[in-house]
Amino acid sequence: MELTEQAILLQAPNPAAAENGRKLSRKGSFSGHARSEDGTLYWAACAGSGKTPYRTSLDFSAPGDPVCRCSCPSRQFPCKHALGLMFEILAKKSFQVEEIPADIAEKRAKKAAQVEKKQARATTPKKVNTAALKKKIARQLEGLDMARKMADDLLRSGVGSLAGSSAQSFDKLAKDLGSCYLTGPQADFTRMALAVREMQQNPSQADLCCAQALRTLIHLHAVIKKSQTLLQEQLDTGNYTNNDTILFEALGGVWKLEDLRALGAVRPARLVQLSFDVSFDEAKKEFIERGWWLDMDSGRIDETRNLRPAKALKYVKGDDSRFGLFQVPELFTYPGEGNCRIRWETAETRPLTPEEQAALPALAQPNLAAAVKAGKNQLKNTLMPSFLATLVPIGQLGRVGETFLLEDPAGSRIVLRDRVEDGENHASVLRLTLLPEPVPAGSALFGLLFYDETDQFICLHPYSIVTPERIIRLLF
Amino acid sequence: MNLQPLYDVKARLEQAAVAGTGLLEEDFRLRKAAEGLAPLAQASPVFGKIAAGLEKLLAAPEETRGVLLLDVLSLTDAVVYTQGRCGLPGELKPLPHHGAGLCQEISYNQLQPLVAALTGSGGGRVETVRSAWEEHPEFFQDYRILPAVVLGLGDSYAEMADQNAEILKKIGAPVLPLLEHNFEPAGKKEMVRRVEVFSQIAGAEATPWLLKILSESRKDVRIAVITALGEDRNNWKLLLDLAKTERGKAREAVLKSLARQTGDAVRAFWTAELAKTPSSVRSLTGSSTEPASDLVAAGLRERLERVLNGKGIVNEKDAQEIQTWLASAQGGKETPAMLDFWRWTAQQRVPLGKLLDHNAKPWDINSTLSDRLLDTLCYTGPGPLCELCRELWENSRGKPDYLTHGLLASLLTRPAGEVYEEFSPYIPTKTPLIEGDKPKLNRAALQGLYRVFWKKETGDWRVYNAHPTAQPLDIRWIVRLTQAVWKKNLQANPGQVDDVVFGGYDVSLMNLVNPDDPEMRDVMAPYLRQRMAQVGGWRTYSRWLFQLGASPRGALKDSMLQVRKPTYLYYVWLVLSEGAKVLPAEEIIALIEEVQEANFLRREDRTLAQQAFPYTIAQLRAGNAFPEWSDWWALR
Repeated sequence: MELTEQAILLQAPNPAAAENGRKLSRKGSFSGHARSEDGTLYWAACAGSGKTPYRTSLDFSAPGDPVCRCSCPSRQFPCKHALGLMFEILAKKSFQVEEIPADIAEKRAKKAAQVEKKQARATTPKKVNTAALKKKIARQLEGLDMARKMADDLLRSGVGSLAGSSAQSFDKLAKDLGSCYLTGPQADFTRMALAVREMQQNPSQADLCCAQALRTLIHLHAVIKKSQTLLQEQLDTGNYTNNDTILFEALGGVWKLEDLRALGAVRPARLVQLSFDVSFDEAKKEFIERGWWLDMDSGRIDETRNLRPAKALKYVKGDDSRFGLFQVPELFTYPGEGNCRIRWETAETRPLTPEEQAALPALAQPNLAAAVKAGKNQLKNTLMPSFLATLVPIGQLGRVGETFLLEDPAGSRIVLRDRVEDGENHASVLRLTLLPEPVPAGSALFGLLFYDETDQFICLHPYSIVTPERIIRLLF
Repeated sequence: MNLQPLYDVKARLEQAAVAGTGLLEEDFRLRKAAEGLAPLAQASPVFGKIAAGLEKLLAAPEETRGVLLLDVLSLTDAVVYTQGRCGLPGELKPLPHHGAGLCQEISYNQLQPLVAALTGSGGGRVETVRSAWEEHPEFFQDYRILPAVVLGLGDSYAEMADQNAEILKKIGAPVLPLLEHNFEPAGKKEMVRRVEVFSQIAGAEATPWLLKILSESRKDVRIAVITALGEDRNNWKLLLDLAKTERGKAREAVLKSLARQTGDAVRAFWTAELAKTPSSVRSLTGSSTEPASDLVAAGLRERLERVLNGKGIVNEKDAQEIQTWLASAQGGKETPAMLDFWRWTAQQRVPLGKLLDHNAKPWDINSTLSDRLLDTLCYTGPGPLCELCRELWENSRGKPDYLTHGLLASLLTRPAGEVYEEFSPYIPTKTPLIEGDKPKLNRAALQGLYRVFWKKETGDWRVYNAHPTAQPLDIRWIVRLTQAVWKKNLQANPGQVDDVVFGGYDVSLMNLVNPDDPEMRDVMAPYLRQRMAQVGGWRTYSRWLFQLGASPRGALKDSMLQVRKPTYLYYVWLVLSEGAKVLPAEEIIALIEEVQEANFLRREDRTLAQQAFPYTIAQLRAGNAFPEWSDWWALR
């Protein structure tokens, strides 16, 4: 594994841990640097506050997934000492070739046995408990009925009456839906409760809240209607396979890697990250860390999604922007259309060669019309996200009046605009005027296609510019 | 195809959802919109489907209306999305280019906290930006960060805005386009800071931009622009014109800018201005130009001659004016005319000393003149004024009048050994050593040394942190000062340091010491131990000793007992934990035992101390680190 600063930062549980590790390395806290002959294991002693130094080691025997070990009592993983040792390697400190210490060799063997066991478990077919599934579906149908009734009641009195209703009643229903295994609709009702509170606290925002609540209601209606049919059919026929993958996720289903493997959604891939962003879902109280990835072989754009509940923020490792080429031996792709969610366990990284970088803009859609057509296909589906991530070729970037536009080489245009829903921290259009260098010919723009209700325009929210020399990130 | 009927239907359906399905029967606008869709319904099956859905909705009983409304609204939405407009006709103008900085591969976790600190609000932001600047200055070159730093010049928290200004000044030329971008000449503090930063970076090169914004600039921005124009020596003509038109604070800014200009026209302007408004001389305070120096010298001499030729009593107005003019004599003024003025004041010391103020008390202008000359010397450093100070000292050798000036001028220009030989007799180590006006000479010599500091960052001694001494300070000064018989306070007001008041003598002595010099450490450590036992101040003296890598052992107990009030245990922890960073564990154990012997802790802290001290000794003996305060506190 080639150790880069970026790779170290990605290993860190938080930025402070990485900085502390860097400081340890800078102030010379490490001694007794040693490594195995094959270069897969590094170890050293690190002075801490105690009398005896900590024994820290890094095991690179699994490429892309280093194992960090340290004798310190820290609950952070990896600890600052392991990160500091990474910085020692990065700084090209001298490591003596030595025999692997017996205790580490033992731990290595244990780890290898664990991996084997895990692989064996993955190939064993999963038993399906049909009785439990039946019970679950029946409960889900009950929940959907409750949700339908609430939605009908709300529509009868009108969405405008939300300001006068009780947010607690929506909260309660949301909680009940949670116990009916319907976390998707649960989030929708929590959103309704949030809209009610916002309207009550900030009456000037009532119109906006009503519009948002109506969008939520439309989504909820589609979920309820389609789910009731699907679930009833499953109960009637006794076939519990998740055929409608979009609905499965809309109801709050979570894919496990073994499910994805069983679906055959695994393949090797070469990926490049085009952009990274973080948003907060107020209804689910969780941070969503999204990475947008371009498949160098197929040109597909998919997303990684790391969900970090606010309550458990420090226990769930954060994701970050990633640079260079990721060679993924096993890429799991979640079922769906448009930009699918992807995930992997291990990957090897290296910088892109100039030739690989130069080839990236050519992976864009052939023209704007094709991108817009794909975007419209997604937008019209109520259950799909209200945007499509796409890479489009740039002919020219410019303005007509105060409106920013992208013109493709064929002369078609699209309005460049920030998506209001993403918040001010995602504003990027104005950054196009702040680029330190002109956009070279043959570049492409990566962004999210969306429909703007205010003036009925299909717009593109720019995230990155992919030039033949580099990826210029307008966000992160 | 005219899609307006479709948009109307969508708007009416949304309105119906907001108003409630209970009112659908009375919704004539929805009915009208449905009728308007008929032509489209005939043209395309999908519009026909919407029309059918609408018909069904309007005819439906109340209990099913909700579902039907959402059905038709979903369908309408889907059709509307597919009909979304794309692009915009018209001439496509290239994007304006205000770019600066670099495109870098910096990750979200690295960049986002900085962006949030620069653009957000709340506490802790200054520290985030400061540490990012110290640890990763390259982040500030990023084209996403630079605009945020520029915007941060308008931060409501002044400390943050000032820090941003300093960062931008250090980044330099790359930020200039951003400072120009979206500049508002009639703006507020952010725009003022932009002008100041621009001027600091570009200097005289800023003139074209300043001239561009001058005409539209207002209030504080105008003042900043005029002040910045003073950086360019070619702007004298414009500034002379502005002096005729500007009023109030803007005119004061013009005068300050003109104070940095030279030439006959400028000299003529100032001659007339000072004749008309003598108080305008304040604007010349920081100026080192020839006209400023000459005019201030002439004006001062004229005023002093006038009072000398008077009745021996100086009225309040004249006294105040002379003080104002004297204050303006600072700022590096050292033309021959100014040097002549100082020589003349030296010759006139006796008659000037006889003058009385309006209360018929001695006016004492001589000490003011002496102080101003000293300040000017510290500001200008080696040069003609320095030579003049030597000359004045040579002419008055044996008197205290110019001893301080002579000592500092010598430190700045002469070999260290020579300076020591010449001036050390004025620091007596036994009595009587010097003849004549002993206390005054001693005080004058100490006043000189008080202005000298060891500067760790540059590794040299500096006069008032500005100019370095010609050679490293002679170690014999330190030895002599530790042996001096008159430890007069060097500072005008002895400092209240920690829990004890003691003279500034040792503070100033420590300012002279290079803690990394083993010779100086050897001299100072026993001296400080002796002094701490005499005067108290155990916390301060202990810290000084730690700085020198020495221990207060043997003096700590006596020093603690010198203080009137029993001490807090926390203070003991502070001192010992600091000592633990530089001294071996055995030494710290000995210090703890000495504190125990002193038994001079607050009554409330004694129980905790009885546990904390043995615990700490045990920890240190076990080879562990000195405990944190929380560890001590947990022993309660």
